[in-house]
Amino acid sequence: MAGMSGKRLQKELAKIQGPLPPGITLVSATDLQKWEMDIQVPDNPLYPPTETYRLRFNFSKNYPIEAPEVTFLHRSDLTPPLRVPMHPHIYSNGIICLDLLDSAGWSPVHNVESVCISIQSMLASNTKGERPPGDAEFVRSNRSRPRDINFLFHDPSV
Amino acid sequence: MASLPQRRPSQRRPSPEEESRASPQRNLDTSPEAQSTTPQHPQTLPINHQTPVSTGEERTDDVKTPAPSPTAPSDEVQTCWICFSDSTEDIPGQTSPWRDPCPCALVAHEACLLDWIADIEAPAKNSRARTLRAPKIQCPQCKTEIKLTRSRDYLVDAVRALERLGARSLTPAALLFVGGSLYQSSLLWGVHSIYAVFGVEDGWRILQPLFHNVLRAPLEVYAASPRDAADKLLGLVVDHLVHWRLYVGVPLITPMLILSRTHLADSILPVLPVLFFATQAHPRAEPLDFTRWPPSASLCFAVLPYIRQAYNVGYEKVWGEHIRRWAREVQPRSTQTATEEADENGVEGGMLAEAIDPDTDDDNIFEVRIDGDLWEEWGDNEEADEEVMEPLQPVIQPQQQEQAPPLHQPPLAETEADHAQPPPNIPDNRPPAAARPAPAAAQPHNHEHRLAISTTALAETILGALLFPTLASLSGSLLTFLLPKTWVTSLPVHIPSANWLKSLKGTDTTRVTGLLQTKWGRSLVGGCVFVVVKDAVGVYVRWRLAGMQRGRRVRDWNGVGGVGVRPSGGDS
Repeated sequence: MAGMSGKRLQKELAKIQGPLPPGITLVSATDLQKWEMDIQVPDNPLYPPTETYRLRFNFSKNYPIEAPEVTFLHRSDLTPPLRVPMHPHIYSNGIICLDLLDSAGWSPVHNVESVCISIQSMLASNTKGERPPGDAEFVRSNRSRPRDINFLFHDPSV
Repeated sequence: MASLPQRRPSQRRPSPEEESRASPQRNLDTSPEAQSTTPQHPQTLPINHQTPVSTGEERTDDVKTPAPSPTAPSDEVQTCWICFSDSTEDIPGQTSPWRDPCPCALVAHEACLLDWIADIEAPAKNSRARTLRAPKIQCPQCKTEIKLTRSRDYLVDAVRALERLGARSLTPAALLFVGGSLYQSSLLWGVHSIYAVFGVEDGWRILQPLFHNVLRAPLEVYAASPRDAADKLLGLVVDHLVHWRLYVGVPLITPMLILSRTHLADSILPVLPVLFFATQAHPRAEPLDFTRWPPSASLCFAVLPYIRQAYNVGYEKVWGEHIRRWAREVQPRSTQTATEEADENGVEGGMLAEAIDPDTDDDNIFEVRIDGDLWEEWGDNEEADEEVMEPLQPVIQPQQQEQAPPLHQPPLAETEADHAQPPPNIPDNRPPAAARPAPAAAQPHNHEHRLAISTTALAETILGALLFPTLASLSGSLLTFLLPKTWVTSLPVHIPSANWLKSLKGTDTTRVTGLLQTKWGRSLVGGCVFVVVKDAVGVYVRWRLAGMQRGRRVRDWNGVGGVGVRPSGGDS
């Protein structure tokens, strides 16, 4: 059912035009397979409440059976510039290490909104403003797409 | 979903194969925008997982074709949680039927569910995710297992189970293979060492039981005649049990040789030979006689580790400080200050100076974290002279390198979590900045050192260790030429004497009477002499190097061209 992703994305798009939880806004979904969402993190001193972080959602033909690829966008040419938030599970190239986004933890019961909420809460509950260990090396040497990376999820506290 | 949705029985026509359905049909309220009833909703066909199907030989997983969807009004709109389409958008005849396989409120199209289940069972992304049994399919919300009906082919199941078993046993089999190869090569090298040390006749006498089993046919060749196979197996087991000292001890020689070049196994090494040899029944039923000279071979080799350690300690005591001093003098002065400061702080230890260990830039480094005291590198008498600046010294990496990424994890390293620990501990002992790599203080309980081992040094150590028996044997043979004949050959003539020196030559009529008259005795003594001579030469060389270092001067250019040095009052 290759058309399933299109239909479902259309439905999600329609729903997302409606009311969204606070801090989550739709930026663009002109390309149905690539969405951009902005999130803000309330109530955490590590992240200023005015700062917005942009997520890019890349959907495949097998969505929702297959998880979307979600990364933080990093654009210094814009004003205000887009930054990748500091988090021990977010690499500085925007790749997020979250079990929800991996094939083991994803299920079609989630949707764009729930993923945004999860990421938002992951940021909101964070207390360490640091990058993951090995961040520099990973950013320098990584060539694979996030979906192809075998993440090791071992930190349940963050 | 806080509560289970209401269940409302409603009329429906029974489908052909479901005669006795006790439970009512369930109508579920899934979407927040539940609308009022609209006519002509397709029927939901629940797969009732509570009712056991009791037909014949079939279990719950019997063959079932997709049930038709008789129309009957249902009141609520259902939303498929996979494709998000409503039941309003269903095209009868095209849309696959709805399914409600679990107690919670999630319903979905059958085709969507099958798609999702197919992805779970055979994930396209990674083929490594294979367990012994097929993964359970659980509803993502209520975690109830979703049951399917599909045709059962026992052959297919058996083959797939075998496949999974095969995939799982891949790692153990590989480990077994590698272990077996290591064992065999250790065995072979042990045999070589024994021959080298003991000579031809004694060596053969010792190793003879092994001979039959080295070239025996593997058991599967006997599969045609099971009784033969059983016999051979029994014989093999008995043989191994009886001669366990050979089967365990000879391969152990190789790692013991290697380990004795480091200090890793100092506590174990003295014990091992005692275990093996001292428990051996003497062929002549003699008790272990410490007063007899020459001592038996087993006694000699059992005592050897103690001799080695005594020698190490003595060497370190006598020469250790001098060698360190000479080595420092060979180095540039900038690193000398670091070492001097560390010395002032009363730090004891091996080679301190290499502030920037040239080998840390080497790509062949792997970093090994070893718990234990590995300080006295200098005392190791068996190290080669060239390894003066050997990277086997403990080197504490500067703080920046603590961020060594997990990609660099060597096979022997422990978890990265520990890496943060040692450097904070170290600077407590020293005033200089923590950024400057400095040796760890010799706190008695600070056992977490980081070794930087370069592969070349490792190879040198290992190869040197392995060659040691051969070298010992050769030195022993050298002794036969250098020493007077009477010392080293067995005398058939009885020479009574009470002199201890003459006891070396032999005092009675038995064939072998002196330590040096046996091949192994000569090898033993030859090996010790070799080590002592090598160390003596090493000490001399280092002393001379340090001395010559001080006398170096740079020469001015004497030929055509050149600017010339302006006289500045410095010495020349």
